[in-house]
Amino acid sequence: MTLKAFVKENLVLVVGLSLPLLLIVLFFAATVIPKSMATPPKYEMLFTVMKYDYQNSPDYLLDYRVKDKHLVVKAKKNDDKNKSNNLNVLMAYDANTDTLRDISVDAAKAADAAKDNEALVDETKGYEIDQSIISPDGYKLEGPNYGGGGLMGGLFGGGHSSNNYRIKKGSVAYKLPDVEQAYYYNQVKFIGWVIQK
Amino acid sequence: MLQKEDALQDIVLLAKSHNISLDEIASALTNSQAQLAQQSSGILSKLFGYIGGIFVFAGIGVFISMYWADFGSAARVIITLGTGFIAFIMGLICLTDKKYERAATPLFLMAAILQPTGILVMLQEYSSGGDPRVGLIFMAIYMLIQQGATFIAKDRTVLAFSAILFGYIFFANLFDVWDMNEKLIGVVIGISLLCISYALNQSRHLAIAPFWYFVGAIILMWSVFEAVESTPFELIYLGLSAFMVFLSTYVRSRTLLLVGTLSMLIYIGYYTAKHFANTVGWPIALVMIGIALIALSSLAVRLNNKYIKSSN
Repeated sequence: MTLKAFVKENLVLVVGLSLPLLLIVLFFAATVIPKSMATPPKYEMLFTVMKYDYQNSPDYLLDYRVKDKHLVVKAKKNDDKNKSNNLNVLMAYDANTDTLRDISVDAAKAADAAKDNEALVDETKGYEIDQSIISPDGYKLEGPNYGGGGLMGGLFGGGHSSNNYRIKKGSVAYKLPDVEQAYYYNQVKFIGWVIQK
Repeated sequence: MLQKEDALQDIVLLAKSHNISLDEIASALTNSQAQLAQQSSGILSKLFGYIGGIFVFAGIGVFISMYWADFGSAARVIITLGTGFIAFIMGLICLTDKKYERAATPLFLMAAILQPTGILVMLQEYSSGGDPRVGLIFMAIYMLIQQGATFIAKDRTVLAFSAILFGYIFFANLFDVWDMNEKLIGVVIGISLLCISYALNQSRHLAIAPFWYFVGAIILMWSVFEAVESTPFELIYLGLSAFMVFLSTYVRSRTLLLVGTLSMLIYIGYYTAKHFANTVGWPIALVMIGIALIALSSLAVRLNNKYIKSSN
């Protein structure tokens, strides 16, 4: 039997088998092709991730924000009766090179400089930060999809709800590498885009 | 007249798919007593085959659970994947001898459960971590190739069942890893399964068609409902339920009729509770549901009698 004759005789079967394959082709056409033709994000994204240290509690609790286009930190001594084990880690993601870096801030030094107020973060002193939700080149941080996967996930697996954050512009998206956040839900806090270093 | 034509159509289809000649049909019709005796011995041998399979499977299962904690990694893999693979080989050997052919199905079933379990145990014991969905994809690819290739070579219904199952496990996890919209995945897989069930229903593997019709229809209805829920397009779901009832008469499937009717009833109940419970009053709403239920059930029975039952 020739292929043409087989397709003609088993048209419904062929449609059934090719539908998932067609979805794969459409997926590539809708995501991979636009990404290969788009301009990658120009600016690094600054954000914090909440981490949890089970054994040691940090000496200082750090809180970051942007003031006059520069990153400032508010440090509070972690000496309450019930010491917090949460640690706010500062990170930067460069979608252009797909690299994630951990900016380690000297908490004691920052606390010393802040003196119960805010102080410029030494490690990002030269950075000019734009805290707009949408970057100057049109990208935006998008949160993960915590959808359950529905009945499909229950029957065939999958539906493990993606933990991935993305930097997105239209149909072009760059997935953030695993930031190892401590908790399941939104612990990634956007700070801003590094316009100038 | 219509019923007779439908029955003839089915006889032709069955004769074609099982390679039964006219002479064989004629001799079976004339010698119905001998046919009856042969059928009863066939059922008995099948029954003992399945019961035997259940006993063997239960024995292996109990043995594994009793000593699981004492087993090392290698033993865990050998006892699951190894046993599954041996069951698969034994199933293939059974197919070569007419005497043992009946034992093949339970053996293939055991293999289809133990082998994927073994692969997942192997990944759990020896992998260096990572996304568990990638492990499921690896398992599904291995099983799909094995079961699919054996199905093409041996044309056994049980292998068609497992090939479809592992094929869709593969697609569902692959699409999920790619973070595709789960409603879109559900719609595509649901329609795809309905098409495959239709093809199964036209082949000698029609025994598994109702199951896949059920799974496909449920996935499709569920995904469409999730997509249109509380949107202006919500009534599309009702239209799809009606289409499912129509489709059931076209493909002559009671399963689709059941899913279509139930989904319509559930939607009417949901819609009434959401929009009319507090305005017109719940008792009136209940009466409306009742009338809809009676109307739909009588319609379903009529459709079944007219288009489905007559052909089976």
